[in-house]
Amino acid sequence: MVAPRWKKIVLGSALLLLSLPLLLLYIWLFFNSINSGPLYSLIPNHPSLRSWIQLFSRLPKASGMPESILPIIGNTVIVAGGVMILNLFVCGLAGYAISRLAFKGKELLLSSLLIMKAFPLLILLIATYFVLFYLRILNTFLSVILARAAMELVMGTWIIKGFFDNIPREIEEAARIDGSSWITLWGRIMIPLVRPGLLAVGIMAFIGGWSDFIFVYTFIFDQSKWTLSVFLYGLIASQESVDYNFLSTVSLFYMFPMILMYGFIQKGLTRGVLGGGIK
Amino acid sequence: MKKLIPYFFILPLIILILLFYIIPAVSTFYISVTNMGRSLRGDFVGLKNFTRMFSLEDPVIGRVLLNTLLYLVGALAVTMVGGLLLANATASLGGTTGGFFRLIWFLPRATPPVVWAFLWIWAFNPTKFGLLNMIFNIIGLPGRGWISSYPMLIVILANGVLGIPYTMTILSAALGNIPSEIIEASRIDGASGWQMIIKIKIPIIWWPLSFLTIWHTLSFLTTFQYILMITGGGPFYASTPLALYTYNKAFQNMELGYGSALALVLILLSMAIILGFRQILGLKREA
Repeated sequence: MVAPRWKKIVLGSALLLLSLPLLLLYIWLFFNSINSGPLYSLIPNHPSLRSWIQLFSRLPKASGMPESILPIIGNTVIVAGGVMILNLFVCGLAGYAISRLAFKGKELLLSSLLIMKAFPLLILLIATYFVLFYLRILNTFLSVILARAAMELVMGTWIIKGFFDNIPREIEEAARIDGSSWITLWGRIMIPLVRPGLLAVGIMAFIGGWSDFIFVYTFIFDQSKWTLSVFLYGLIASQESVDYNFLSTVSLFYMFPMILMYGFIQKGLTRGVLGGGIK
Repeated sequence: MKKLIPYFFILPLIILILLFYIIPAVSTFYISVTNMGRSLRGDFVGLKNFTRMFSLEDPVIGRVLLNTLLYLVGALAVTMVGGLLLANATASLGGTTGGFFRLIWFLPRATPPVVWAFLWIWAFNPTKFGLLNMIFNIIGLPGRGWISSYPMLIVILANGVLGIPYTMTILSAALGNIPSEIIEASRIDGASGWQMIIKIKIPIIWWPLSFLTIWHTLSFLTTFQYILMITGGGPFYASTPLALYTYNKAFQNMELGYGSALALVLILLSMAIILGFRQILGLKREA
Protein backbone atom coordinates (compact mmCIF):
# COMPACT_ATOMS: atom_id res chain seq x y z
CA MET A 1 0.00 0.00 0.00
CA VAL A 2 2.97 2.31 -0.46
CA ALA A 3 2.29 5.17 -2.89
CA PRO A 4 4.33 5.96 -6.06
CA ARG A 5 7.31 8.26 -5.80
CA TRP A 6 5.91 11.64 -6.95
CA LYS A 7 2.87 11.17 -4.75
CA LYS A 8 5.15 10.45 -1.82
CA ILE A 9 7.04 13.68 -2.35
CA VAL A 10 3.84 15.74 -2.49
CA LEU A 11 2.43 13.96 0.56
CA GLY A 12 5.70 14.26 2.49
CA SER A 13 5.91 18.00 1.80
CA ALA A 14 2.30 18.55 2.86
CA LEU A 15 2.93 16.63 6.04
CA LEU A 16 6.10 18.57 6.74
CA LEU A 17 4.16 21.82 6.37
CA LEU A 18 1.51 20.54 8.78
CA SER A 19 4.14 19.40 11.27
CA LEU A 20 6.24 22.53 11.03
CA PRO A 21 4.49 24.53 13.80
CA LEU A 22 4.84 21.61 16.21
CA LEU A 23 8.44 20.99 15.23
CA LEU A 24 9.20 24.69 15.55
CA LEU A 25 7.91 24.74 19.15
CA TYR A 26 10.35 22.05 20.24
CA ILE A 27 13.27 23.40 18.21
CA TRP A 28 12.66 26.81 19.72
CA LEU A 29 12.58 25.31 23.20
CA PHE A 30 15.97 23.74 22.55
CA PHE A 31 17.55 26.85 21.00
CA ASN A 32 16.37 29.00 23.87
CA SER A 33 17.90 26.68 26.40
CA ILE A 34 21.34 27.02 24.79
CA ASN A 35 21.19 30.77 24.29
CA SER A 36 22.00 33.63 26.59
CA GLY A 37 19.31 36.30 26.40
CA PRO A 38 15.97 36.22 24.56
CA LEU A 39 15.78 35.01 20.97
CA TYR A 40 14.64 37.55 18.40
CA SER A 41 15.01 35.26 15.45
CA LEU A 42 14.91 31.53 14.93
CA ILE A 43 18.66 31.09 15.34
CA PRO A 44 20.56 31.39 18.64
CA ASN A 45 22.41 34.72 18.73
CA HIS A 46 24.48 34.15 21.89
CA PRO A 47 25.02 30.41 22.22
CA SER A 48 25.78 29.60 25.85
CA LEU A 49 25.30 26.88 28.43
CA ARG A 50 24.55 29.46 31.12
CA SER A 51 21.02 28.15 31.87
CA TRP A 52 22.15 24.54 32.08
CA ILE A 53 24.90 25.51 34.53
CA GLN A 54 22.41 27.58 36.53
CA LEU A 55 20.05 24.64 36.70
CA PHE A 56 22.54 22.54 38.63
CA SER A 57 24.31 25.21 40.64
CA ARG A 58 22.18 28.05 41.94
CA LEU A 59 18.76 28.89 40.54
CA PRO A 60 18.24 32.45 39.27
CA LYS A 61 16.99 34.72 42.03
CA ALA A 62 13.26 35.29 42.05
CA SER A 63 11.17 36.07 45.08
CA GLY A 64 9.40 33.07 46.52
CA MET A 65 11.44 30.58 44.53
CA PRO A 66 13.69 27.89 46.00
CA GLU A 67 17.46 28.19 45.69
CA SER A 68 18.36 24.73 44.49
CA ILE A 69 16.66 22.31 42.14
CA LEU A 70 17.94 19.16 43.84
CA PRO A 71 15.20 18.90 46.51
CA ILE A 72 12.58 19.49 43.81
CA ILE A 73 13.99 16.67 41.70
CA GLY A 74 14.08 14.54 44.84
CA ASN A 75 10.40 15.25 45.54
CA THR A 76 9.45 14.40 41.97
CA VAL A 77 11.32 11.10 42.19
CA ILE A 78 9.61 10.29 45.52
CA VAL A 79 6.16 10.85 43.98
CA ALA A 80 6.92 9.02 40.73
CA GLY A 81 8.71 6.15 42.49
CA GLY A 82 5.93 5.90 45.06
CA VAL A 83 3.25 5.59 42.40
CA MET A 84 5.35 3.01 40.59
CA ILE A 85 6.01 0.78 43.62
CA LEU A 86 2.44 0.99 44.86
CA ASN A 87 1.02 0.17 41.43
CA LEU A 88 3.36 -2.76 40.83
CA PHE A 89 2.32 -4.21 44.18
CA VAL A 90 -1.41 -3.62 43.76
CA CYS A 91 -1.63 -4.63 40.09
CA GLY A 92 0.70 -7.61 40.51
CA LEU A 93 -1.48 -9.04 43.27
CA ALA A 94 -4.88 -8.20 41.78
CA GLY A 95 -3.96 -9.12 38.21
CA TYR A 96 -2.98 -12.59 39.41
CA ALA A 97 -6.15 -13.11 41.45
CA ILE A 98 -8.42 -11.97 38.62
CA SER A 99 -6.64 -14.14 36.07
CA ARG A 100 -6.22 -17.30 38.14
CA LEU A 101 -8.28 -17.52 41.32
CA ALA A 102 -11.98 -18.13 41.79
CA PHE A 103 -13.76 -16.01 44.37
CA LYS A 104 -17.15 -14.62 45.18
CA GLY A 105 -17.76 -11.19 43.73
CA LYS A 106 -15.29 -11.61 40.87
CA GLU A 107 -17.95 -10.82 38.27
CA LEU A 108 -18.84 -7.62 40.10
CA LEU A 109 -15.16 -6.63 40.37
CA LEU A 110 -14.60 -7.26 36.66
CA SER A 111 -17.56 -5.20 35.54
CA SER A 112 -16.72 -2.32 37.87
CA LEU A 113 -13.11 -2.36 36.64
CA LEU A 114 -14.42 -2.07 33.10
CA ILE A 115 -16.57 0.93 33.96
CA MET A 116 -13.70 2.53 35.89
CA LYS A 117 -11.47 2.12 32.86
CA ALA A 118 -13.55 4.71 31.03
CA PHE A 119 -14.50 6.77 34.09
CA PRO A 120 -12.56 10.06 34.29
CA LEU A 121 -11.29 10.22 37.87
CA LEU A 122 -10.70 13.98 37.80
CA ILE A 123 -14.43 14.71 38.19
CA LEU A 124 -14.18 13.36 41.73
CA LEU A 125 -11.39 15.79 42.64
CA ILE A 126 -13.44 17.85 45.10
CA ALA A 127 -14.68 14.82 46.98
CA THR A 128 -11.21 13.27 46.88
CA TYR A 129 -9.88 16.42 48.53
CA PHE A 130 -12.55 15.98 51.19
CA VAL A 131 -11.59 12.31 51.73
CA LEU A 132 -7.88 13.16 51.97
CA PHE A 133 -8.71 15.86 54.50
CA TYR A 134 -10.43 13.35 56.75
CA LEU A 135 -7.58 10.88 56.33
CA ARG A 136 -5.37 13.77 57.49
CA ILE A 137 -2.92 13.32 54.64
CA LEU A 138 -3.50 16.52 52.66
CA ASN A 139 -0.22 18.29 52.01
CA THR A 140 1.78 15.04 52.06
CA PHE A 141 3.41 13.10 49.24
CA LEU A 142 1.23 10.17 50.24
CA SER A 143 -1.94 11.98 49.12
CA VAL A 144 -0.56 12.54 45.62
CA ILE A 145 0.92 9.02 45.40
CA LEU A 146 -2.34 7.33 46.40
CA ALA A 147 -4.54 9.46 44.13
CA ARG A 148 -2.27 9.09 41.14
CA ALA A 149 -1.89 5.34 41.71
CA ALA A 150 -5.68 5.01 41.85
CA MET A 151 -5.85 6.77 38.49
CA GLU A 152 -3.32 4.43 36.86
CA LEU A 153 -4.20 1.13 38.48
CA VAL A 154 -7.20 0.09 36.42
CA MET A 155 -5.23 -0.08 33.18
CA GLY A 156 -2.30 -1.64 35.06
CA THR A 157 -4.38 -4.43 36.59
CA TRP A 158 -5.85 -5.13 33.18
CA ILE A 159 -2.46 -5.37 31.50
CA ILE A 160 -0.98 -7.66 34.18
CA LYS A 161 -4.09 -9.86 34.08
CA GLY A 162 -3.57 -10.21 30.32
CA PHE A 163 0.03 -11.34 30.86
CA PHE A 164 -1.00 -13.91 33.51
CA ASP A 165 -3.70 -15.24 31.16
CA ASN A 166 -0.99 -16.20 28.67
CA ILE A 167 0.99 -18.36 31.09
CA PRO A 168 0.24 -22.08 30.80
CA ARG A 169 -1.54 -23.47 33.84
CA GLU A 170 0.75 -26.53 34.04
CA ILE A 171 3.59 -24.44 35.47
CA GLU A 172 1.42 -23.42 38.38
CA GLU A 173 -0.01 -26.87 38.96
CA ALA A 174 3.45 -28.44 39.07
CA ALA A 175 4.50 -25.96 41.73
CA ARG A 176 1.34 -26.55 43.73
CA ILE A 177 1.98 -30.30 43.81
CA ASP A 178 5.42 -29.50 45.19
CA GLY A 179 3.57 -28.00 48.11
CA SER A 180 4.58 -24.37 47.70
CA SER A 181 2.49 -21.92 49.68
CA TRP A 182 0.32 -19.41 47.83
CA ILE A 183 2.58 -16.51 48.50
CA THR A 184 5.75 -18.35 47.41
CA LEU A 185 3.96 -19.53 44.30
CA TRP A 186 3.01 -15.98 43.46
CA GLY A 187 6.28 -14.28 44.37
CA ARG A 188 8.81 -16.91 43.29
CA ILE A 189 7.18 -18.44 40.24
CA MET A 190 4.37 -16.36 38.79
CA ILE A 191 5.67 -12.80 39.18
CA PRO A 192 9.00 -13.47 37.39
CA LEU A 193 7.02 -14.88 34.46
CA VAL A 194 5.17 -11.61 33.82
CA ARG A 195 8.23 -9.37 34.05
CA PRO A 196 7.62 -7.61 30.68
CA GLY A 197 4.11 -6.69 31.81
CA LEU A 198 5.39 -5.38 35.12
CA LEU A 199 8.02 -3.33 33.31
CA ALA A 200 5.38 -1.65 31.13
CA VAL A 201 3.02 -1.02 34.06
CA GLY A 202 5.86 0.25 36.25
CA ILE A 203 7.09 2.68 33.63
CA MET A 204 3.58 3.96 32.90
CA ALA A 205 2.99 4.53 36.61
CA PHE A 206 6.33 6.29 36.97
CA ILE A 207 5.52 8.59 34.04
CA GLY A 208 2.12 9.31 35.59
CA GLY A 209 3.66 10.39 38.88
CA TRP A 210 6.55 12.23 37.23
CA SER A 211 4.30 14.36 35.01
CA ASP A 212 1.44 14.90 37.46
CA PHE A 213 0.38 18.51 37.84
CA ILE A 214 -3.17 18.79 39.08
CA PHE A 215 -2.92 16.55 42.17
CA VAL A 216 0.30 18.18 43.39
CA TYR A 217 -1.12 21.63 42.61
CA THR A 218 -4.33 20.90 44.53
CA PHE A 219 -3.21 18.68 47.43
CA ILE A 220 0.22 20.16 48.30
CA PHE A 221 0.55 23.56 49.98
CA ASP A 222 4.19 23.73 51.12
CA GLN A 223 6.82 24.94 48.75
CA SER A 224 9.28 22.49 50.28
CA LYS A 225 7.20 19.67 48.76
CA TRP A 226 7.02 21.09 45.25
CA THR A 227 7.68 18.76 42.35
CA LEU A 228 9.12 19.83 38.99
CA SER A 229 5.66 20.44 37.51
CA VAL A 230 4.51 22.89 40.17
CA PHE A 231 7.93 24.52 40.31
CA LEU A 232 7.84 25.12 36.56
CA TYR A 233 4.28 26.41 36.76
CA GLY A 234 5.36 28.78 39.55
CA LEU A 235 8.13 30.11 37.31
CA ILE A 236 5.74 30.60 34.38
CA ALA A 237 3.05 32.26 36.47
CA SER A 238 5.38 34.55 38.44
CA GLN A 239 4.80 38.11 37.38
CA GLU A 240 8.45 39.09 37.54
CA SER A 241 10.59 39.26 34.43
CA VAL A 242 10.63 35.78 33.00
CA ASP A 243 13.94 34.23 32.00
CA TYR A 244 12.94 32.23 28.93
CA ASN A 245 16.35 30.60 28.62
CA PHE A 246 16.03 29.16 32.07
CA LEU A 247 12.37 28.15 31.60
CA SER A 248 13.30 26.26 28.44
CA THR A 249 16.13 24.51 30.21
CA VAL A 250 13.91 23.36 33.08
CA SER A 251 11.26 22.22 30.57
CA LEU A 252 13.72 20.16 28.55
CA PHE A 253 15.29 18.65 31.64
CA TYR A 254 11.82 17.74 32.94
CA MET A 255 10.78 16.26 29.59
CA PHE A 256 13.86 14.18 28.92
CA PRO A 257 13.18 11.15 31.20
CA MET A 258 9.64 10.87 29.83
CA ILE A 259 10.84 10.71 26.24
CA LEU A 260 13.38 8.04 27.19
CA MET A 261 10.80 5.92 28.98
CA TYR A 262 8.14 6.25 26.29
CA GLY A 263 10.70 5.29 23.69
CA PHE A 264 11.48 2.22 25.78
CA ILE A 265 7.90 0.94 26.01
CA GLN A 266 6.21 2.35 22.91
CA LYS A 267 5.77 -0.99 21.13
CA GLY A 268 4.38 -2.74 24.18
CA LEU A 269 2.13 0.23 24.91
CA THR A 270 0.40 0.09 21.54
CA ARG A 271 -0.19 -3.63 21.98
CA GLY A 272 -1.47 -3.22 25.54
CA VAL A 273 -3.80 -0.38 24.65
CA LEU A 274 -5.11 -2.23 21.64
CA GLY A 275 -5.52 -5.49 23.51
CA GLY A 276 -7.03 -3.96 26.61
CA GLY A 277 -8.92 -1.02 25.21
CA ILE A 278 -10.65 -2.23 22.11
CA LYS A 279 -11.29 -5.53 20.49
CA MET B 1 -8.85 -20.12 55.40
CA LYS B 2 -8.20 -21.20 51.85
CA LYS B 3 -11.29 -19.37 50.68
CA LEU B 4 -9.89 -16.13 52.01
CA ILE B 5 -6.64 -16.24 50.03
CA PRO B 6 -8.03 -14.58 46.85
CA TYR B 7 -9.31 -11.70 48.96
CA PHE B 8 -5.83 -11.14 50.31
CA PHE B 9 -4.67 -10.66 46.73
CA ILE B 10 -7.35 -8.15 45.80
CA LEU B 11 -7.46 -6.31 49.13
CA PRO B 12 -5.06 -3.45 48.18
CA LEU B 13 -6.99 -2.90 44.94
CA ILE B 14 -10.31 -2.83 46.79
CA ILE B 15 -9.00 -0.34 49.36
CA LEU B 16 -7.85 2.05 46.64
CA ILE B 17 -11.11 1.68 44.69
CA LEU B 18 -13.07 2.42 47.84
CA LEU B 19 -10.94 5.42 48.78
CA PHE B 20 -10.73 7.04 45.38
CA TYR B 21 -13.83 5.95 43.45
CA ILE B 22 -16.66 4.77 45.67
CA ILE B 23 -16.33 7.05 48.71
CA PRO B 24 -15.64 10.20 46.63
CA ALA B 25 -18.59 9.38 44.35
CA VAL B 26 -20.92 9.04 47.34
CA SER B 27 -19.37 12.10 49.04
CA THR B 28 -20.02 14.20 45.93
CA PHE B 29 -23.77 13.60 46.42
CA TYR B 30 -23.45 14.51 50.09
CA ILE B 31 -21.32 17.65 49.58
CA SER B 32 -23.59 18.88 46.79
CA VAL B 33 -26.50 19.36 49.20
CA THR B 34 -24.42 21.34 51.72
CA ASN B 35 -22.94 24.81 51.76
CA MET B 36 -19.45 23.47 52.46
CA GLY B 37 -16.69 26.04 52.23
CA ARG B 38 -13.07 26.44 53.24
CA SER B 39 -13.53 24.77 56.64
CA LEU B 40 -14.69 21.55 54.92
CA ARG B 41 -17.73 21.49 57.17
CA GLY B 42 -21.12 22.30 55.79
CA ASP B 43 -24.77 22.56 56.71
CA PHE B 44 -27.53 20.87 54.78
CA VAL B 45 -29.11 23.30 52.33
CA GLY B 46 -31.31 20.94 50.34
CA LEU B 47 -31.34 21.47 46.61
CA LYS B 48 -30.27 25.10 46.83
CA ASN B 49 -27.05 24.49 44.87
CA PHE B 50 -29.05 22.92 42.06
CA THR B 51 -31.70 25.64 41.90
CA ARG B 52 -28.85 28.14 41.80
CA MET B 53 -27.50 26.36 38.76
CA PHE B 54 -30.73 25.91 36.84
CA SER B 55 -32.72 29.01 37.76
CA LEU B 56 -30.09 31.25 36.18
CA GLU B 57 -29.21 32.61 39.57
CA ASP B 58 -25.73 31.92 38.31
CA PRO B 59 -25.32 34.50 35.53
CA VAL B 60 -22.42 32.80 33.75
CA ILE B 61 -23.63 29.20 33.64
CA GLY B 62 -25.20 29.63 30.19
CA ARG B 63 -21.94 30.92 28.84
CA VAL B 64 -20.06 28.06 30.48
CA LEU B 65 -22.34 25.41 28.97
CA LEU B 66 -22.01 26.95 25.53
CA ASN B 67 -18.22 26.99 25.96
CA THR B 68 -18.29 23.33 26.96
CA LEU B 69 -20.11 22.37 23.78
CA LEU B 70 -17.89 24.51 21.58
CA TYR B 71 -14.73 23.20 23.18
CA LEU B 72 -15.85 19.56 23.00
CA VAL B 73 -16.80 19.73 19.32
CA GLY B 74 -13.72 21.74 18.37
CA ALA B 75 -11.15 19.66 20.24
CA LEU B 76 -12.77 16.43 19.11
CA ALA B 77 -12.62 17.54 15.47
CA VAL B 78 -8.93 18.46 15.74
CA THR B 79 -8.03 15.18 17.45
CA MET B 80 -9.99 12.85 15.22
CA VAL B 81 -9.35 14.49 11.85
CA GLY B 82 -5.70 15.16 12.70
CA GLY B 83 -5.10 11.63 13.99
CA LEU B 84 -6.84 9.98 11.03
CA LEU B 85 -4.98 12.12 8.50
CA LEU B 86 -1.62 11.42 10.11
CA ALA B 87 -2.23 7.70 10.50
CA ASN B 88 -3.17 7.49 6.82
CA ALA B 89 -0.43 9.72 5.49
CA THR B 90 2.34 8.07 7.50
CA ALA B 91 1.14 4.65 6.36
CA SER B 92 1.23 5.75 2.69
CA LEU B 93 4.70 7.22 3.13
CA GLY B 94 5.92 4.08 4.86
CA GLY B 95 9.48 3.37 6.00
CA THR B 96 11.69 5.96 7.66
CA THR B 97 9.77 9.04 6.47
CA GLY B 98 6.48 7.77 7.90
CA GLY B 99 8.24 6.76 11.10
CA PHE B 100 9.82 10.20 11.37
CA PHE B 101 6.45 11.97 11.24
CA ARG B 102 4.90 9.50 13.68
CA LEU B 103 7.77 10.23 16.05
CA ILE B 104 7.24 14.00 15.80
CA TRP B 105 3.53 13.66 16.44
CA PHE B 106 4.13 11.41 19.40
CA LEU B 107 6.13 14.17 21.14
CA PRO B 108 3.10 15.93 22.72
CA ARG B 109 2.27 12.74 24.61
CA ALA B 110 5.80 12.52 25.99
CA THR B 111 5.64 16.15 27.12
CA PRO B 112 4.66 16.83 30.75
CA PRO B 113 1.40 18.84 30.99
CA VAL B 114 3.09 21.93 32.41
CA VAL B 115 5.66 21.98 29.61
CA TRP B 116 2.92 21.54 27.01
CA ALA B 117 0.98 24.47 28.48
CA PHE B 118 4.16 26.53 28.62
CA LEU B 119 4.85 25.94 24.92
CA TRP B 120 1.41 27.32 24.02
CA ILE B 121 1.56 30.26 26.40
CA TRP B 122 4.92 31.12 24.99
CA ALA B 123 4.08 30.65 21.31
CA PHE B 124 1.15 33.06 21.66
CA ASN B 125 2.85 35.45 24.07
CA PRO B 126 1.64 39.03 23.38
CA THR B 127 5.16 40.52 23.50
CA LYS B 128 7.78 40.35 20.78
CA PHE B 129 9.27 37.28 22.48
CA GLY B 130 6.27 35.15 21.54
CA LEU B 131 7.05 32.72 18.72
CA LEU B 132 4.12 33.79 16.54
CA ASN B 133 4.71 37.50 17.09
CA MET B 134 8.37 36.99 16.30
CA ILE B 135 7.50 35.35 12.98
CA PHE B 136 5.01 38.16 12.30
CA ASN B 137 7.75 40.62 13.06
CA ILE B 138 10.16 38.98 10.61
CA ILE B 139 7.62 39.16 7.78
CA GLY B 140 6.73 42.72 8.73
CA LEU B 141 3.31 42.31 10.36
CA PRO B 142 2.34 43.83 13.71
CA GLY B 143 2.16 41.49 16.72
CA ARG B 144 -0.94 40.94 18.78
CA GLY B 145 -2.22 39.59 22.09
CA TRP B 146 -3.24 36.22 20.74
CA ILE B 147 -4.43 34.60 23.95
CA SER B 148 -6.73 37.47 24.90
CA SER B 149 -8.06 37.81 21.34
CA TYR B 150 -8.67 34.12 20.57
CA PRO B 151 -8.71 32.27 23.92
CA MET B 152 -11.17 29.57 22.89
CA LEU B 153 -9.41 28.78 19.63
CA ILE B 154 -6.05 28.41 21.36
CA VAL B 155 -7.51 26.23 24.10
CA ILE B 156 -9.21 24.00 21.51
CA LEU B 157 -5.98 23.64 19.53
CA ALA B 158 -3.79 22.95 22.56
CA ASN B 159 -6.09 20.17 23.81
CA GLY B 160 -6.98 18.85 20.37
CA VAL B 161 -3.37 18.50 19.24
CA LEU B 162 -2.56 16.71 22.49
CA GLY B 163 -5.14 14.05 21.62
CA ILE B 164 -3.59 13.41 18.20
CA PRO B 165 -0.77 11.05 19.33
CA TYR B 166 -3.18 8.60 20.94
CA THR B 167 -5.60 8.68 17.99
CA MET B 168 -2.76 8.34 15.50
CA THR B 169 -1.09 5.44 17.34
CA ILE B 170 -4.27 3.38 17.64
CA LEU B 171 -5.49 4.12 14.12
CA SER B 172 -2.05 3.34 12.65
CA ALA B 173 -2.18 -0.06 14.30
CA ALA B 174 -5.76 -0.61 13.11
CA LEU B 175 -4.93 0.43 9.54
CA GLY B 176 -1.89 -1.84 9.62
CA ASN B 177 -4.20 -4.76 10.34
CA ILE B 178 -6.21 -4.30 7.13
CA PRO B 179 -5.26 -7.16 4.79
CA SER B 180 -3.28 -5.79 1.86
CA GLU B 181 -5.37 -7.88 -0.59
CA ILE B 182 -8.38 -5.66 0.11
CA ILE B 183 -6.40 -2.51 -0.66
CA GLU B 184 -4.87 -4.07 -3.78
CA ALA B 185 -8.23 -5.28 -5.07
CA SER B 186 -9.80 -1.86 -4.66
CA ARG B 187 -6.86 -0.23 -6.40
CA ILE B 188 -7.21 -2.57 -9.35
CA ASP B 189 -10.91 -1.63 -9.45
CA GLY B 190 -9.73 1.96 -9.81
CA ALA B 191 -10.54 3.48 -6.42
CA SER B 192 -8.88 6.86 -5.81
CA GLY B 193 -7.08 7.76 -2.58
CA TRP B 194 -10.08 9.51 -1.07
CA GLN B 195 -12.53 6.85 -2.16
CA MET B 196 -10.26 4.28 -0.57
CA ILE B 197 -10.25 6.16 2.75
CA ILE B 198 -13.98 6.84 2.87
CA LYS B 199 -15.41 3.67 1.34
CA ILE B 200 -12.95 1.03 2.48
CA LYS B 201 -10.64 2.07 5.30
CA ILE B 202 -13.10 3.99 7.50
CA PRO B 203 -15.73 1.21 7.53
CA ILE B 204 -13.05 -1.35 8.46
CA ILE B 205 -11.65 0.73 11.33
CA TRP B 206 -15.11 1.88 12.44
CA TRP B 207 -14.76 0.21 15.83
CA PRO B 208 -11.52 1.90 16.98
CA LEU B 209 -12.80 5.18 15.50
CA SER B 210 -15.93 5.11 17.64
CA PHE B 211 -13.96 4.00 20.67
CA LEU B 212 -11.56 6.93 20.28
CA THR B 213 -14.41 9.42 19.71
CA ILE B 214 -16.15 8.44 22.92
CA TRP B 215 -12.94 8.13 24.91
CA HIS B 216 -11.85 11.62 23.84
CA THR B 217 -15.31 13.06 24.51
CA LEU B 218 -15.07 11.84 28.10
CA SER B 219 -11.55 13.15 28.41
CA PHE B 220 -12.28 16.62 26.95
CA LEU B 221 -15.42 16.89 29.04
CA THR B 222 -13.48 16.42 32.26
CA THR B 223 -9.89 17.65 31.86
CA PHE B 224 -9.26 21.28 32.54
CA GLN B 225 -5.61 21.55 33.56
CA TYR B 226 -4.34 22.87 30.22
CA ILE B 227 -7.03 25.54 30.10
CA LEU B 228 -6.30 26.44 33.72
CA MET B 229 -2.65 27.01 32.85
CA ILE B 230 -2.98 28.61 29.40
CA THR B 231 -5.86 31.09 29.74
CA GLY B 232 -7.07 30.51 33.29
CA GLY B 233 -10.53 30.32 31.70
CA GLY B 234 -10.55 33.99 30.79
CA PRO B 235 -10.81 36.66 29.79
CA PHE B 236 -14.14 36.91 31.64
CA TYR B 237 -15.12 33.22 31.34
CA ALA B 238 -14.54 33.37 27.57
CA SER B 239 -12.70 30.03 27.67
CA THR B 240 -14.20 28.40 30.76
CA PRO B 241 -15.91 25.05 30.13
CA LEU B 242 -17.88 23.25 32.84
CA ALA B 243 -14.95 21.20 34.20
CA LEU B 244 -12.79 24.26 34.79
CA TYR B 245 -15.74 26.20 36.18
CA THR B 246 -16.28 23.39 38.67
CA TYR B 247 -12.62 23.41 39.70
CA ASN B 248 -12.48 27.18 40.08
CA LYS B 249 -15.69 27.33 42.10
CA ALA B 250 -14.37 24.66 44.44
CA PHE B 251 -10.71 25.56 44.81
CA GLN B 252 -10.50 29.25 43.94
CA ASN B 253 -13.72 30.50 45.54
CA MET B 254 -13.64 27.59 48.01
CA GLU B 255 -17.34 26.91 47.38
CA LEU B 256 -17.07 23.14 47.68
CA GLY B 257 -20.83 22.65 47.97
CA TYR B 258 -21.69 24.42 44.75
CA GLY B 259 -18.63 22.92 43.05
CA SER B 260 -19.84 19.43 43.96
CA ALA B 261 -23.27 20.14 42.51
CA LEU B 262 -21.56 21.12 39.26
CA ALA B 263 -19.32 18.04 39.49
CA LEU B 264 -22.41 15.89 39.88
CA VAL B 265 -23.71 17.18 36.55
CA LEU B 266 -20.39 16.16 34.99
CA ILE B 267 -20.52 12.74 36.65
CA LEU B 268 -24.05 12.11 35.39
CA LEU B 269 -23.08 13.22 31.88
CA SER B 270 -20.05 10.91 31.89
CA MET B 271 -22.00 7.97 33.25
CA ALA B 272 -24.65 8.50 30.58
CA ILE B 273 -21.97 8.50 27.89
CA ILE B 274 -20.25 5.40 29.33
CA LEU B 275 -23.46 3.42 29.73
CA GLY B 276 -24.85 4.61 26.40
CA PHE B 277 -21.79 3.38 24.57
CA ARG B 278 -20.86 0.36 26.66
CA GLN B 279 -20.50 -1.87 23.67
CA ILE B 280 -18.10 0.41 21.85
CA LEU B 281 -15.99 1.09 24.92
CA GLY B 282 -15.51 -2.65 25.20
CA LEU B 283 -17.39 -2.74 28.48
CA LYS B 284 -19.61 -5.59 27.44
CA ARG B 285 -17.92 -8.57 29.05
CA GLU B 286 -15.28 -9.92 26.75
CA ALA B 287 -12.78 -10.85 29.51
